[in-house]
Amino acid sequence: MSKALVTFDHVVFSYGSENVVDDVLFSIKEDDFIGLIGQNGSGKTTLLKLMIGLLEPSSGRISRLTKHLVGYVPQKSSQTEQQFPITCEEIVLQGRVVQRGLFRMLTSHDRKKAQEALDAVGLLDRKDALLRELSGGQQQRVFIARALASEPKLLILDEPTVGVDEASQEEFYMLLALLRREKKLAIVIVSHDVEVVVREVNSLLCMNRKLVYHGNPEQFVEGNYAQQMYGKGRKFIHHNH
Amino acid sequence: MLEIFEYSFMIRAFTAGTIIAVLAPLIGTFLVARRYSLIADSLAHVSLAGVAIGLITGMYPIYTALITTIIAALFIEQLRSSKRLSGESALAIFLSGGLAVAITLIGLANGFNVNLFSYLFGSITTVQAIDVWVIASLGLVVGGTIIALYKELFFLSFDEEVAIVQGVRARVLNSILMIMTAMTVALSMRIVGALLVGALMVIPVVASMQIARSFKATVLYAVCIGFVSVWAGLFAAYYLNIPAGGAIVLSSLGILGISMILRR
Repeated sequence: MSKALVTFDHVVFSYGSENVVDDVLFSIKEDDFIGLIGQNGSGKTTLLKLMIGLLEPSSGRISRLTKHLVGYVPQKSSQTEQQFPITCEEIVLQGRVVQRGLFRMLTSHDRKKAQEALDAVGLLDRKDALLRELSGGQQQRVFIARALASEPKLLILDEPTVGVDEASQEEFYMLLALLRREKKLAIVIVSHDVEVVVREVNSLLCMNRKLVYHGNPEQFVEGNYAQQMYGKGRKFIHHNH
Repeated sequence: MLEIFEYSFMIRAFTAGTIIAVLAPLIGTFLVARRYSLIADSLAHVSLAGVAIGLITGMYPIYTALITTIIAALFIEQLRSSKRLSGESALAIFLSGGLAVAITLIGLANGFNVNLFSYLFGSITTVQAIDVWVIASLGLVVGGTIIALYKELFFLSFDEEVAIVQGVRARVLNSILMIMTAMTVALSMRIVGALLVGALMVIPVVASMQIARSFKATVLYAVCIGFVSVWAGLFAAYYLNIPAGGAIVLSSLGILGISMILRR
């Protein structure tokens, strides 16, 4: 049986008197591939921040199997300074900073780990390229490589396919499948693109302050959960791969 | 030997200037990376308030400037991280606030004189032996700290959120970077003057960014450009009899111009 990596135990998070995340209860297991969906204001971003440890719950408990468990890939270059000359390898080496520890220089072992991570996302030949010289999809892969370099057990990606064209999107999901297979990673992706997510993931978390759905995506499509959440008239097409 | 090096005051100016030339762009790289370069100017204006306190009480002005500037830097960091104010407005408030305190104090003490001007615009002829000692020893502290924390500061400056998620101690490290910035500002005042400190922290970095092909190269080139600017500026100041601060900053602007042409 697979172990739980992160467990939410009756977690509440409130801004003032308003519960943005209300009594949420679930766990992420070792082989999970979870899609976290919900409308704007549904608390999914807050849930994400709780998951990665940027916020602490107002009440309830979040337990993690080990420290340094999570590799986090933020929304596409939300923070990284685009104009600054920084190489792909330097970005990925950031993933080794905490592993190496304070007052220690990064070693050739760290470089090897960084290059393995770049190789895993298929960008080893661009390691000396500047970040700003890469396409949006490639930049995304560099940030995934940085997360991989820290050797996480759980990869969490925030809106990874925003502004990515369809072809790169397909490539992106193929990469995730590969990482799941080869690195035995659990993956959580937060997305508003429900139609794509439901046909890729094997478990779905749907937030509307409370956790309104937790289960397999097929039932989500067959039931009328989507219509409850997103209003009538939305059709979900089930693809058989 | 060149005539310029026969004067002990010029030796002092070159020694202090060289230390500043290395420190200012080194710190500046992290500030520019996090789009926070204006903090140098804000702290410089606050440091003038510190100088005013020194001139009034008769204490050594660099010490009072150091203390005032460090306190202000920690306060600004607190405001920024608690999100009570946006970083930008906190900087604007401290910039004018610092200057207002300085002017009021100096006015009260009837102290608008040459001595004050040397802190505003820098002055190489008034650099004392004690200034060189203070700049050298504290400069060693700043340089050593930045090198020891280089990889963490690098990560934080580019992607604070991810760095925190991975376990980088952001609060402590950001405060340390702010203290080091404050110290560099206060120490640089003697040579380039409070009004031009910010330029020496930012312009070499921006010039370096035009030609560098990695972050590491950006840091190294920025330090070299800072060094060349300070030496060129000090030579110009001596031979053309112009204020050193202005000459240093104009030299760095010249290098920025050249690097922008090279990039095209």
